[in-house]
Amino acid sequence: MFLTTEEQRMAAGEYGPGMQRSMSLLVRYGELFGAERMVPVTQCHLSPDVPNDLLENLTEGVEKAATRCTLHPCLYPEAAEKMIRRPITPTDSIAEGYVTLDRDAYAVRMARFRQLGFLPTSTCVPYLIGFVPRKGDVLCLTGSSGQVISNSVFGARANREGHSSALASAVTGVTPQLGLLHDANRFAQVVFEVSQLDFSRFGIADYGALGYLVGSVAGTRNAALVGLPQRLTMEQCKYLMSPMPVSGGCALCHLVGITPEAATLEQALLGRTAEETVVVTPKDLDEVRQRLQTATGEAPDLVILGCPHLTIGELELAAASLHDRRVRTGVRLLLATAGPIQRLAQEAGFVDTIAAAGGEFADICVSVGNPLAYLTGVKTVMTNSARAAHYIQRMTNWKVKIVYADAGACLEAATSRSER
Amino acid sequence: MTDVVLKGRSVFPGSVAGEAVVLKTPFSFLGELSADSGKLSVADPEVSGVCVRDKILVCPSGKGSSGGPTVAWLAKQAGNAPLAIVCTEMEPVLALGVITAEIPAVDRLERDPVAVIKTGDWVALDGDVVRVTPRG
Repeated sequence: MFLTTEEQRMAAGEYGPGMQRSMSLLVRYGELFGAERMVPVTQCHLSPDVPNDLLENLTEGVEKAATRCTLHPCLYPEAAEKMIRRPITPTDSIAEGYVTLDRDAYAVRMARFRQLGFLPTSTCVPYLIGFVPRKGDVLCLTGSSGQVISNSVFGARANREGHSSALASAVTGVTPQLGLLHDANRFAQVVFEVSQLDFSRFGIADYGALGYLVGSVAGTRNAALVGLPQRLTMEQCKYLMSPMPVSGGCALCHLVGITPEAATLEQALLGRTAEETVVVTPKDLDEVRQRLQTATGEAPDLVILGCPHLTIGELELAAASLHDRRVRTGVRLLLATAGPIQRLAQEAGFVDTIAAAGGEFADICVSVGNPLAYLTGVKTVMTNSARAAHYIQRMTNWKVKIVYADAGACLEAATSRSER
Repeated sequence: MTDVVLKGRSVFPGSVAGEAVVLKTPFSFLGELSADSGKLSVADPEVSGVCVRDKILVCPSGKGSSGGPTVAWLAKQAGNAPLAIVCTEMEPVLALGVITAEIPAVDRLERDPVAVIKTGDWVALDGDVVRVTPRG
């Protein structure tokens, strides 16, 4: 693999041990997958749930990150305590020790991230709060919904990553040129023909089910969808794309006629022939919805919206439907969004309306790192997110049941009419 | 039965030996290995619940999202990672797991290890060479 003089110096340890380890990791990774050189990274997005010793290992002696860096949500101790309404204890474990609730370790880690210049964004939707990927940008992102949305909706270039590779790229400012960073590798391999579906009656949960189906069939292959309505909102894109990397490992899905690299099917295929063409029927979607919904008539005791984090438009709709309602006794209603979006919603009056109805806000991950799902007696979760449904089923070993429906139905189930 | 010696590609170097645990489906550290106990949590009942500490994990490929390498690191630091991974064909997230945690690994062997190696066989890995001693 070709390295510039500067990259060779990094690998030789001239900039300290953290830079050396980071560059060595990227070189080994790049050579394994046939990269010929490194390319500069436009933006990195990292989960703060990196073990402290791994963070130190890759950043030892590093003063500042080499590129713009933002942070993913994590379950910080204050947020966990506010949600579970009691102090956390050393035995509180989430997802088999994957998420740590150690207060001191968290403080040390966040201080180090700030020192390195990472912005404490705590959101999975950096693209909605000003970190907008542009066509051709090279992104190293943890959080697989950001990868597939950046690639597909924005036309930026992002590979699947690990926490360690994204951190190494933040330190060095480069990533090996492989996979989806090559224009020539961005062709669709599996084509989904969806014109049999009635989009005039399609809700968000239908878009999520379609995305879940695409991921499970595509696996790690690139996909294309043909026959969608010619205008999709950001919300529809968000719920369509975000399940693709969890039911499979799909990091790029062209929406023909909509997304930047797919004006036509021929363009999405880069002139090739599809490996597989799948005609999606309404029955297929019903079957997916049955896989996502594991509850059989139970009423939810936790309703969550915000996986991925809510847009200002979704908060506006939630406020409108909650103005004369109250959260039922024995039910929690949780809405997750990014801090800047919540502040805008506060200014616009949406937060007061939702809070008066009994809704709670959080800037954590409400699927993988949701303390209510693991640390309280919650039995049934209702959500409009296929991604959250998938993770909560698995991370609780199928103990927590799922009701899967549109946001309107979720809000209605969580609340009853009030005499305010 | 005689030993089978297969040459492949070294993904992370090392020289270790142990009993094989064979997975028939792609493996993700996140969700399929407990860093706290070293036990597998996979669909195949023959190997689910097996502790991979001091064992050689054999699998066709990798899968899963960004947290995989973190779980690999946590498992290794806790002494609960497999001794090595022998894989048909590496995939980026699994490769980053073994590189990050420094778990010896090899792929692209002359024959498919998932077909050749059985759970319980003795496997010795040395760089890019794998020696399989069938059990019993």
